[in-house]
Amino acid sequence: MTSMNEAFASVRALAEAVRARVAGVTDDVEVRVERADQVSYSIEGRALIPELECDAWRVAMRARRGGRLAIAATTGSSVDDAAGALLRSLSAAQPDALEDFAALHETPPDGRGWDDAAGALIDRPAQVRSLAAMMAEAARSAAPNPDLVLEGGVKVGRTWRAMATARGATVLSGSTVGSAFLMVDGNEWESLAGTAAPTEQGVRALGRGLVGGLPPREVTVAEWLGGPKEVTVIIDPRLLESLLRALFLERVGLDRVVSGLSSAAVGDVVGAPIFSLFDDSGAAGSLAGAIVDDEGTLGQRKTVVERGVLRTLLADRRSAKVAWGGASTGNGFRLPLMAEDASEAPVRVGMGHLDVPEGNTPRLKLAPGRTVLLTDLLGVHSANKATGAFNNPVQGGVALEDGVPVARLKAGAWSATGNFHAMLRALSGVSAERLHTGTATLPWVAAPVRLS
Amino acid sequence: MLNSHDAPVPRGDAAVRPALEAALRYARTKVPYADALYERVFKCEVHQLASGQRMVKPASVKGAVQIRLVGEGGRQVGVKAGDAGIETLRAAIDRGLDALAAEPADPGFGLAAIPNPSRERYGVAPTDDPRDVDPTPRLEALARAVDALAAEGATEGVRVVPELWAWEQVEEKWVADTDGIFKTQVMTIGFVQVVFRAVRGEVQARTRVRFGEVGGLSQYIGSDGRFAPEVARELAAQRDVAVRLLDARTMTADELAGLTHYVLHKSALVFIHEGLGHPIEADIVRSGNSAIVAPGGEARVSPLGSSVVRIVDGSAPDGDGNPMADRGFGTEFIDDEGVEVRSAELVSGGHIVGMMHSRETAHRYGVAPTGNGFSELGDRRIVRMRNTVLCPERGDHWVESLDELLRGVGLGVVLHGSLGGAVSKEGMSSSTQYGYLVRDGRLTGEIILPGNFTALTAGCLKSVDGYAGPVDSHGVGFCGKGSQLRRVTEGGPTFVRLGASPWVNLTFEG
Repeated sequence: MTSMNEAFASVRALAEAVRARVAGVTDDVEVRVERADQVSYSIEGRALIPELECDAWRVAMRARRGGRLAIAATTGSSVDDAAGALLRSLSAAQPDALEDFAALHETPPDGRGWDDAAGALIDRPAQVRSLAAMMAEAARSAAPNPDLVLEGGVKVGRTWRAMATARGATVLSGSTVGSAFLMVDGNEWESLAGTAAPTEQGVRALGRGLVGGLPPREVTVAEWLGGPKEVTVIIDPRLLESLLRALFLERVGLDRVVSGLSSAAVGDVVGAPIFSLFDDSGAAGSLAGAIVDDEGTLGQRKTVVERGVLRTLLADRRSAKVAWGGASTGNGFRLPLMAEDASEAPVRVGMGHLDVPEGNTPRLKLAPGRTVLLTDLLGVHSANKATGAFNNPVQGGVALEDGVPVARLKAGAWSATGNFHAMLRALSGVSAERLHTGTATLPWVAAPVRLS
Repeated sequence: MLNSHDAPVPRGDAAVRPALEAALRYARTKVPYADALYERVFKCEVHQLASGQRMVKPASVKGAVQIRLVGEGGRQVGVKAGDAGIETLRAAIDRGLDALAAEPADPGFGLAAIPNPSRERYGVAPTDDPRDVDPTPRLEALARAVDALAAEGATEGVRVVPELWAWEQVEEKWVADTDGIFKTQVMTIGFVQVVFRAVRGEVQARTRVRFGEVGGLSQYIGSDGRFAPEVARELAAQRDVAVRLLDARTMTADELAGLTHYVLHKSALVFIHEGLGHPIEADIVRSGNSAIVAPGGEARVSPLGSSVVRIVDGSAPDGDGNPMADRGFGTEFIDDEGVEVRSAELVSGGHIVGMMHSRETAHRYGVAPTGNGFSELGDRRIVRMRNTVLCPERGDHWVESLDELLRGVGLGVVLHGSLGGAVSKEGMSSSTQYGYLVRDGRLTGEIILPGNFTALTAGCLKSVDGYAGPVDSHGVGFCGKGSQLRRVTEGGPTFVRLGASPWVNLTFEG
């Protein structure tokens, strides 16, 4: 079992050793080391499948020499491998506007994302298994149909990080993750996620609530709405978060503006007056909050949208330098695309913890009459990032009659079409309740969507 | 053509083999059976973002080990370790034993035998091995060539902004078990993705094109900095389409209602992978999450497709649909359990005739493993697709040209490209990049904006009624399953024709 001090010492030692190894041949260097453990149990039908990960190391490195930027990444705890890869990359360094890396300040190891119970649970896999079994059992016990097909799982993980640059201290942080996810018959799903460990009460409530809350009847668009139609729908916070990260980021990321791919400017009206959005890359207790972002800028809370008006574009160090000649907003993240590992991914502008203030309407009352609550769309990643338009099959949702769930949306029989940017401007309601998704705290919202 | 004769030995084999064997000896003192997989990847890469920022990474290294411990009564657990050091492996085994103690007996669990147990070495030696020959000049040449190509596509008031992501990686793996199996594989894989964004004022359009194959980047760009001719043609064509899309339109409601046929270009066949491949993966079948195969292995839907539908997963096929052992972005010689990859016929004559198996699912269903057990860098081995392709039998339904295929089509649309797909139990969804209208059997010049093609798994193949052109595993992609990604392709003849039916649908944004 790895002690906290031992773990921090090990990531610090690797980061500082790599830094020292390349100090004489670089102008500046940035080394980010992660060491992680994880235990998960997947629910696959009746089976519970264990999966453990121990001592997974990831090293992400950048160096500057003569106005050029070099990048390398390794896994493993070998200083030779990491420093060797970085030294080799110097010959391939490219001209870059990034003039320096962050100057880091001495702080105690940061634990804003650490939960002791979650950290300890990793060393007790039998308890994690038990949580997964409880969740599945709770779902089955609430189901009228014994042939219910379940998939999902429970996961806990812990990560220790060290970030070092040529200037200043080495910043240490530790975080944990706990999550549970359950899907019924490949369509309806529920989840919980955060830095804390899942609890028995939490996973039982998830399983019971998901299955017990599903109306037995299912409907098609024709049966419920009389055919394809634009209606004001209620959007689940998790779908709202997916759309914000997939589409709204393309509008408010300063790197997109610098590239000419977004024309957004502070002062633009981007939402209805009832909509405000905060980004907090330093949020405590969030999987999207940390003491520093992936290039060492302090995590911080920004007002992105205030009553519908764009107040801040989100920036990493490079885009901030190019566009403003100024400071990053702490939104430089190694966001992997497709087959990239996070340590390999270039730093891109991303979102931290998202926070939308609550409104004053109960969530199921946001849209009167016949409408639907949309939990998820299939393949949001394929939506049109250039325009904000989407057109995807519905995955999970219920038909509502004056706020009362009366039927499930028949799997495979519904699709939703809209433009997320237009929807934000046309929001007609924000719920009084909010959900902590693990990476965001968001309400349910009401907006026009075409259903077919 | 590459071949697997004189397969190379992975670097560091002299150190890795004893470490794995020592770990397995240790595991054998605790459990009746264990196996180990060590995967290591050396990657060189270039990224060019829309901002113009170019990043060249000549050397990234990653690796991990997966150890599977099988206890008495079919109890089993998998553990991922960060490296192949013996101390790390022993610690991982100890942690796995803790989890194994919590597992209930599973009398149905077993692992099918590994065929050809005595053969140890597989793969092909890299040419211009990027571990020895600096790949930077080739990576930089790729970026310059893409820039030049984009610049040539600019027209009055229109900018073409390119994005590039390309890599070449040397993949090495070791598979060993407590029964004495020891196998290794060395593969080089090359990948190029270019996105062209056409920008005119506030209006944007984009296309994406991918190439991926066994072998390095030299197959795409020469040492003279010029693209291979077929690559240059394809890139220029997609660049020009991006510009044309600035003036494209959606189909009207009347046109959609009146459609008689969909014709899918080989770049738009992701539904074969998403809608028909995943539900025939034996682990998904067993869990009850397949809409077309019941957990016992019997088809829920029969026939699944029309009589001309035949789907095969394996190494990439040639133009006639016959497998080529060493081609295809999803191709390997052995899977991550040491099973030699063989083609699995999934659908023939419209009927489901087989499934894709790992050692575990093969044992459960009492069949031979098909070499579909794969892991993403030390993760648990699960059933994964490789190259999943429509390979029809020859006949009148398979013609040479698109013109022939379009005869008899009243109102149709030829759909090209996809930016990705997703699958649910009942069906799938994939974006389309663009399309062309067909009227009265003739392709018109009317270009159609990106849309969304959806198909219900249980019936979408029933209206497949014709093909044109040679088979090609054209659709290069990365398949996500659970939290794992794997390189794959999907494909088929150049064009696949489907009659309009309630099982498929096309919708547009806005």
